[in-house]
Amino acid sequence: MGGREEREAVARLKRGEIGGLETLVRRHHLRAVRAAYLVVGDRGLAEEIAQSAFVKAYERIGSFDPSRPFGPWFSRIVINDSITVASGRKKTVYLDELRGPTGLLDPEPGPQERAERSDEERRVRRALEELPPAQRGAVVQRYFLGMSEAEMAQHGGAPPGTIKSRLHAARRSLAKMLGPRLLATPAVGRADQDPREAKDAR
Amino acid sequence: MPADREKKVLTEKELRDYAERAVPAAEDPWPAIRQRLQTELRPEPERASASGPERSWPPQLVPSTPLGYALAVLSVLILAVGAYAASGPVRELSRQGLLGGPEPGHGEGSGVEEQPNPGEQGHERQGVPDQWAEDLLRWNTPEVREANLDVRLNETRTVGRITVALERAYADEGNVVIVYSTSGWDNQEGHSGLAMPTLSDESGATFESVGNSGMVTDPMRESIVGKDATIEVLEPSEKLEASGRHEFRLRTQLDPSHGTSDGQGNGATEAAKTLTFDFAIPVHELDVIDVGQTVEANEISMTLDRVENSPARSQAILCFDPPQDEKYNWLPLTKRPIINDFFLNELLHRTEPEEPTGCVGYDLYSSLYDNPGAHSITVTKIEGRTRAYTKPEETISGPWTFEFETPEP
Repeated sequence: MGGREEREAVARLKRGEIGGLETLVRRHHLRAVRAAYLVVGDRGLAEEIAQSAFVKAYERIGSFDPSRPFGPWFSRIVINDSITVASGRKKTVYLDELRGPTGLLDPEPGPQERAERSDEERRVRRALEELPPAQRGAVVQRYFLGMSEAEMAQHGGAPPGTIKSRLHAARRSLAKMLGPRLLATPAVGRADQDPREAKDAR
Repeated sequence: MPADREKKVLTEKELRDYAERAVPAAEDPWPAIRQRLQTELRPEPERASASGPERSWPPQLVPSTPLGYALAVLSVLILAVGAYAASGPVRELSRQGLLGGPEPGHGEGSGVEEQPNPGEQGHERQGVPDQWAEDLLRWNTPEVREANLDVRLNETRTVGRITVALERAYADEGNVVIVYSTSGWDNQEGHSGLAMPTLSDESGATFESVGNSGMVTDPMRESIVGKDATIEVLEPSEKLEASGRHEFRLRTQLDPSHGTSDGQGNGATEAAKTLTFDFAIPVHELDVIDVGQTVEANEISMTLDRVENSPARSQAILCFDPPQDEKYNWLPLTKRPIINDFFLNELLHRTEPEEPTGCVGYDLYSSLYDNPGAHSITVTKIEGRTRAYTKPEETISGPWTFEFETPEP
């Protein structure tokens, strides 16, 4: 779906036409569930958060500036709700659902590949689990949703310094747990700065 | 690829792979979400037994189709006409209610009143027109007519046997109003028969309908804009610059679902043709009343920064910093007259928070443009919810009352 189609969907939604939401659901639902899952670690909760986020989007669409993309605005709702839910749970329990009945693994991995993949997934899962929810949300926004720090500050409701601090702490923790291959804290300055941020900074 | 850049890419891939395997593409999510919306937006009596009493803000009354929209406007207008006949001039109506007009038992402009319970409110002030009706009536006020603010365009385009006329237009820095009509339908069906028009302009702004638009179906307005004309109020994504001449382009199409006598609609060929109207009109200065009053109640400090006052609509820009803003969606509530059994007591949320203040614009229900003099706005309480249309999780009572004066238009 192109930007024009999305803008038209938003315009329809702003007029109270529920059909506009249908278009947006089809575009953003899967990504929203996945983002929520990465924060809360429970697929059922993630589905619930994503559905609730669309209801909220329906309610709040009047406050949405249609000149901006819908995705980051909607992601804020998803991530904030996910953090709230994760914060309310004693400990994030990543259900061992990767082998569930719904065909969650790719159809035809061999036994060795399957074991390696499972091991890698368990490591990612444990690493995310150890992060405080707000840091987990920041990691998901930055590395899964591909938002720049400027976008996170704009749509995340936290000051840029807080965003930067959360990401820094998350990267340090994840680097310890996952090894230096992933998410290492930049040694000097902002070597990992996204080109979009560099542009923003200029 | 630099090492840190490579790490970032690897991290992105790791998270993406993990999420994709945990949550694969599933069946169509829309039916479940639509069901949820319909359940959560169901009328109050149906929900009450299952989830206890809840506020009856009426999403179920938000029309989902052009016809539904037109019927909703028609219903409201019927009530509005009744109210008009029963209670005198519109000016008097709009001085009541939300905008703190004097009321029995209250001081001048105080407007302070605790929000009644839903059941109680159902018997209060029935028949007072709601926002749509008031906005339509507002455009009909003598002040607007005498000020001759809008421009008569009378541009027409014809597709097959259907003629579309762009009759009039008005613009200020924050609003554009267009009045258009169609003719040639076998059955107008209370709707223009056009797809929602899109407006663009020389500045590259985008325009959104602010919702207080609708087809003119009451006799009072026919002398002004013609029978079956539609009024559309739109807001630009960024404020326009006031000038003597501003170029706009309006585009629309025939609605392929609109009925004809044979029940076959318009046919794809005619419906697909885009109708374009280019026009240039002045952009008037938007009347901004700087208020800057701050009131504190229950440890919540609330500021009415300003009121933007247009013949198209009036908007209050409010700033407050509620607790747990991340957790809740906070809505300010005011006293509000009702129609039948639904509320319109939430101020209509209109704008993204302004940077850096976080202030938000809310549409007012009543015209200030044709009501010069002293006014007050009272926010009786703010309510925080985690989910739409559910009981508020938190309520903080005010009141926060702001007083200001609007000049003669």
